[in-house]
Order: sequence, then C-alpha cells, then structure tokens
Amino acid sequence: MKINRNIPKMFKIWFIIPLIIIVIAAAVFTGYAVSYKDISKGMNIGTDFAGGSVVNLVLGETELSDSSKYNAHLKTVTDILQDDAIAEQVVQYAKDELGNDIDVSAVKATVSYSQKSDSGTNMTLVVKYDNISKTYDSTNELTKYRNELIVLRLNEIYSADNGYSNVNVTYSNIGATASETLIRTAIISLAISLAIILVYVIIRFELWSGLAAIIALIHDVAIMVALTIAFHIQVNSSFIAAMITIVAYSINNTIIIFDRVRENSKIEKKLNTNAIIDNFDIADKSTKQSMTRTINTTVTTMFAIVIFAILGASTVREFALPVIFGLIAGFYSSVFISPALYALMKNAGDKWRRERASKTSPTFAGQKKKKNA
Amino acid sequence: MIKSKSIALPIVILAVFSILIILGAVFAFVSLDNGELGIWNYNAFPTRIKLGLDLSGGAYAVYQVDKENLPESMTDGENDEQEIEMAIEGTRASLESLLFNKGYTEAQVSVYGETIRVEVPDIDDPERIFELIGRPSSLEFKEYTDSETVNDTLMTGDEIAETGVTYNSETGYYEVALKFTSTGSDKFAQITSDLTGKYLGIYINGEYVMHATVSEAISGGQCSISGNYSYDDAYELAVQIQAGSFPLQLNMIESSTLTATLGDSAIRAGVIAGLVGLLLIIIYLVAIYRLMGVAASIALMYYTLTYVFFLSVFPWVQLTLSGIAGILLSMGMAVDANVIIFERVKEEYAKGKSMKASVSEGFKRSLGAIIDGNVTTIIGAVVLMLVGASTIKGFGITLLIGIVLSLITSLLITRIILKAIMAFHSEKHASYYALKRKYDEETEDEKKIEVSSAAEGGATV
Repeated sequence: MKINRNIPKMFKIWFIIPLIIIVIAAAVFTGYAVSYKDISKGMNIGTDFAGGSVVNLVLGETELSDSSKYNAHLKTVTDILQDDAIAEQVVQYAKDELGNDIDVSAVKATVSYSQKSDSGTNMTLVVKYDNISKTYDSTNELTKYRNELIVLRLNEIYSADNGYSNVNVTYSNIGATASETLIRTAIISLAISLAIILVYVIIRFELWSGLAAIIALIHDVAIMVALTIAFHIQVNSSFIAAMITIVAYSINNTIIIFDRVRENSKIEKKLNTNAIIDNFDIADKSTKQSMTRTINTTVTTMFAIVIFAILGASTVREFALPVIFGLIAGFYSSVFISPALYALMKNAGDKWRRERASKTSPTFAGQKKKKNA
Repeated sequence: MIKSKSIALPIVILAVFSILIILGAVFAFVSLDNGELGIWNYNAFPTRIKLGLDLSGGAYAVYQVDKENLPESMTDGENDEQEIEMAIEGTRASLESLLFNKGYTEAQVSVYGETIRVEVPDIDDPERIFELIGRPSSLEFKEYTDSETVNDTLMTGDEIAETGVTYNSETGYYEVALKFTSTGSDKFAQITSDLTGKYLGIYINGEYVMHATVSEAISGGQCSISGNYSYDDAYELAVQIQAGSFPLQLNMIESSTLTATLGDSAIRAGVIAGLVGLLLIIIYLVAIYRLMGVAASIALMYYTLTYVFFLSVFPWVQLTLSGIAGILLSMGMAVDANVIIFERVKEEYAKGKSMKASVSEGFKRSLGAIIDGNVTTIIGAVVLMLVGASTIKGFGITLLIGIVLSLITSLLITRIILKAIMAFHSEKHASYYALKRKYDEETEDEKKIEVSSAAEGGATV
C-alpha cells in the first residue's frame, strides 16, 4: 500500500472525526433523556449498575418445572409491574406526599432480568426490575411504596383462595452501592495503570511519546463509551471489564509505532546532523512502516470476538460490542491520533529548545541537539 | 545444497512438536469415562476450568447485620448511623478478603442497606463457608497461669488481618495460622515481651484452647494455634476466627444456589468463536506469510492449548463472560509479536540479507518493541490484580497468564519451528516465506547508516 500524503500532517481531519462521534453520542444521549424526561435514561444502564428491585416468588416444588409454567408465572409478575392501577396510585402518592408531578410511564417497572432459583425442595422465581428514577425519587420512598403495592397484589393472586399454598412473596431493593464501589475501584485502577504506563513510556521513549500514548488511550475509552451510548447498548458491570481490556491491549499498537519513531529519529539524527528535523516526516514514515502490522494484528484480534458477538446471546453482545468499538478506536488512535500528537508536541518542544539554546549561547542548533541526544 | 545430516535435527524437532500438539489436542477434547475402572477416568482439562457465577451458576447468601449485638460505640447515640455504615463497609471488605484468601477469587460481596450479599460461583458446598461466616468465633489472648485461673484479656481477634491453615510436619496435625494487622503486630510484640518467661494462653469463645511458653518477644506479626486439628477442623476455626474479627456480627437470612441461564450458550458461543477464530487467523497468517505463517500458526496452537491448560490448573482462576472474551482477544494478540517479527524479517530480506540472517535480525530488532508493548499490558494486568474488586482481580490474573504465555510461544516456539522448517530450503525458496528483494529510498538510507555506524565503531577500536 502506498499513501503519498503525510498522514500525521492531516491531523485536523483526524482530530475532528472522534469529536463528531462524541457529538453524535451526546445527541443520542440527550434524545433519550428528553424522551424519557429523565437524564439517567440517556444511557442504557443495566440493573446491576443502576440499582433495582427484586421480587422473589417461592413457588414450591413443581410450579416452575417446565418453561411454559415458568413463562406463565413470569407473565403474571410482568403484568403487575406494568399495571395501570398501581402506577396511578403511585403517581397520586407522589402528588400528595412529595408534591411531585410524575408521568405514569415513569413509575411503571420494566423487567431487566428473571431467573429460576432452585434450592432443592423450593423453586423460586426471581424477577429483577427497575427502580423509579432518582430524578423523581431521591429517597427511594416512591420505589418502596410501589414495591409494597406490587407485593400486596402478588399476595392476592398467589393466595390460598386461588389454590396456592405456601407461596411466599418477598422483595428487596438493590442499591447502586455495589456498582458505585465497582466503578470507583475500576476508575482508580484505570488511573493508576495510566499513570504507570505513562512513566514507563516516558522512561523507555520520551516525554512526548508518553503523553501522546496516554491521550490516545483516553481517546479509545471515550470513543468506546460514545459508541456504546450512540447504539444504546446496555451498560452493566461487564462494561468495566471491556474498558480495561481495551486499555490493556490498545496501548500495544501505539507502542509499536513509537518504537519505529524512536529508531527513525536516531537514523535521521545521524543522517542530518545539522538540519532541523521535521517530526511529522518521522511520524509519517513510522506509521507507514508499521501499517501492515497494525492492520494484520487488528484483523487477527477481530476474528474471534466478532464471531463471538454474532453467535452470543444479548448478554454476550453487550460485552463484545463495546470491545469491538474499543479495538476500532484503538486502531484509529494509534494510526491517526498518537503519531500526529507526538509530532505536534515534539516539534513545539524542539522549537522551544532551539530558541532557548540560541538565547543562551550562539551555538549552532544542530550541534546543541547532538549533545542532548 | 541440503545435506541429510543438516535436516535430521529439524525433522526430529518438527516431529516432536507435531506429536505434542496432537497429544495436547487429545487431552483437551477427549474425556475418558470407564465407569468402574476408576484409574482410567479422565476429564478433558478445559472442562475443569472454574466458572464464574455468571457462567456456572453458583451460590449466594444474604446476611443481616445483627443489631442486637452492636458494639457499644454504635448504640451510644453519637453518630450511630454513620458508625454502623462504616462498620458495614468494613465488614464487607473483611468478607471479601476472607473469601479471596480462601480461594474464592470471583466471590462478590455487595451491601444493600443493612444486608450483605455474598455470591460465590461454582461452589460445591456453600454451607461450608456461608454457615461458618454466620457463626463467628471470638479469639482472646490471656496470660496463662494454671488451668483454674482466668486472667484479663490482653488482646482480641479484632487485630487479626488474615487466617490460614498450615500443616505441622512434626506433630502431623494442622494448625491455624494467624497474621496480625500492623497495630496488632505491635500489640502482640508488646504482650509477648511483657510475658517473656511466662505462658500465653489462647481462648476461643471464652474457652481455653492452648498455652505456650513465651521465650522472647514475637515481632513478626504472626503466630499459630496448634490444637491437634484435622484439616477440616482447622479450616473451620480459621474461617470462624476471621469472621469473629469483623466489625459487625452477621446472621444469615437467606441462601440459595443459582442455575446458570446464560452460561451454557455463552460457553458454546465462546468455544465455536474460538475454534473458528483460530482457523481464520491461521488461514490469514499462512496467506500473508506463507511458511513463516505456518510456524506462527503452530506456535498459536501451542499458545491456545497451554493457555487453556493453565487456566484449568491455576486454582485462583475463575472464568467469567469477560474472561472468555479476553481469551478470544488474546489469540489475536498472541500472533501480534510474530506479525511484528515477520514484517521486520521481510524488511531485512528486502535490504539484501540472506534468509537466515534476515530471520535472526528480524527477531533481534523486534524484541525491544515487543517487550515495551507487553510490559505496558503487564502493568495494566498487575494493577487490576492489586487494586481491582474481585471480578476485576480474576480478570487481571487471566490477562497476565495470557501475556506471559504468548511471549514464550511467539518468541521461542515460533523461532525454533521456523528454523526447523527453513532447514529444508535454500535461498532460492525465499518466495515460500513471502520474502522478496526490493529496493527503495528508505532501505538505502538505512544502509548508509549501517555503513557509517560500522565506520564509527571501527574508529573507536
């Protein structure tokens, strides 16, 4: 492949594209937030992140034995979660007790997850569903009130009068505490790894390479989040793992290119001892030399994960798609962003050093440079 | 010319590697089950990989904070709620480290109000750990004078950071090993220095267990309780003592085992994606790098087999959904080092070097980049292991094993196999390796450099 133009020099185009993606993501975010009248709905956040409620229906030995029975019970619960009468009661409660005016749609619960739990003699139907958004219900009071109504109704349905015996309905609230801790530790570990990677790259390469590599990594994560928002993919705790995977892997591409930059700079210094080196040329040459490798590695890495995303169920896809986004972002940043950033910063740095050198002593710039190298 | 002597070794090498791969594949895919003939039973090693709760199902327990037995400071009316909240968080952290130390690395502990939920994937007997946590033991150190007298408590189990089980080969019994927190270590050193020449007694739940003569101050922050225990007894006691050091007492209110809903389909998708992905990578590599690609493909098969093998033998690995995706990605990344090397080899050959020289030069000149690239990934993995919550921790371990293995296979095995294959060919077969001579400006520049640096080198000698 022969590209004659200097890739890093076209940095204006390369820097604009990610910005466009982020703007689109912001637009999608706003769109969802406005249509649900709720800012937390801008992103599709799963229950294990957002918190939620769980209803447990202990149904005895045989009630859940096959899938049709399971589905019938699940439908009973789902219908109650979507029940208009309950929703209106909650809206009324909000008006009377909290002075809030809420739309009926905002208090209806959607099921996020259901499962059969088997403890030997008793089978339990576990249904997880959304809490009422914090925007309307900061103290969780409404959610509690709603859940009590739901349990009351379930108890009516699963009462002895309807031929059920010993059906036990309980509910519990899942706070977002667990996920807050998870997010906090994830952010801390991301920050620490970025800091150590930065130091390592600065030691092994130079300051500008380190900065460019870290900015590229931040770009990768940002684009990954932006695309996940733009496609409204559900975000749950596995998203954190996906993000970390990308940070760990995508740094590789950048490092390989910077290794070439390091080598080409040495050659350039030896060839043109006196001339001012244009780092755009070095960055461009290095990017092109590594291009085949960057493409090949991205392709081989994509194969299995793309098949996984195609074959897997929705939970698998929720993890695999962000990873694929991250890989694409990683490829993009290592070819188009980090070499350009490096050249921009390094040129500025070199210029500053030359100016300082010419101020302090009249030595020829090239010689001064050779001493530094 | 190819001499028969020079290809004898390569033939042996290639044969050995082929046999090893076939054996590895057999052990990976074939399970033997001969019923009564117990010795012949063998399960394919990938089936022994521990699965996380999201894939395997598993057990969970919910504990309620025991509000009847709160420490005094939390019932005195001053900042009670805040203190309880902090104590719950402390208990959560203690539970997490207890489970991690006992080998449940993917265990998750989360707080919902005043209940603490513990999820442990792929566990056979949840009662063993769950019930023990709900039955904490209090540990006390007192001076021992004789079996009648009970002296004042000098120190309690609250200062214990970790407990474990050790085997004493002299007595043939198991012991409970205690490791103190840093303040605990100081306290213990102080007590033992005060009691030098006297006896120190250990009391569990108020009952005397053992005593020992204190010969000198013990400053290492560790000690062990020997009470002629079997392994199970020692394990039980170790868990209970550690649970006794929690800031709050817990009552188990619910426990249940979960069946996997997504697990089976995710694993099946993962296995198919892995095999098809492997095949595609091999086709791609061979198409681009010909025989060099063949060498890399063999190394990749080694990588995949050994990686899965290590995941199945390391006890602290538990495979989660993200772990599967991590493995799938790592196959692509494992050939990355080879891709870098082969690109270098092609360049070196284009500059006019011989095939053999190009290969060794290619390996040599890529090493720096490969090491730098992988060290940064290792940094990420290690930070995840040290800082991350339990799920992330397990993922970090998986990642780290993969990187180390891929370095070994792509640097060592590829090279051995490539050299063995090359022994069958001479310079005129360069096209078999996707190598061709070309001439352009860049290589000319580099040639000049090599000439000039050689001249410099000569001058300094």
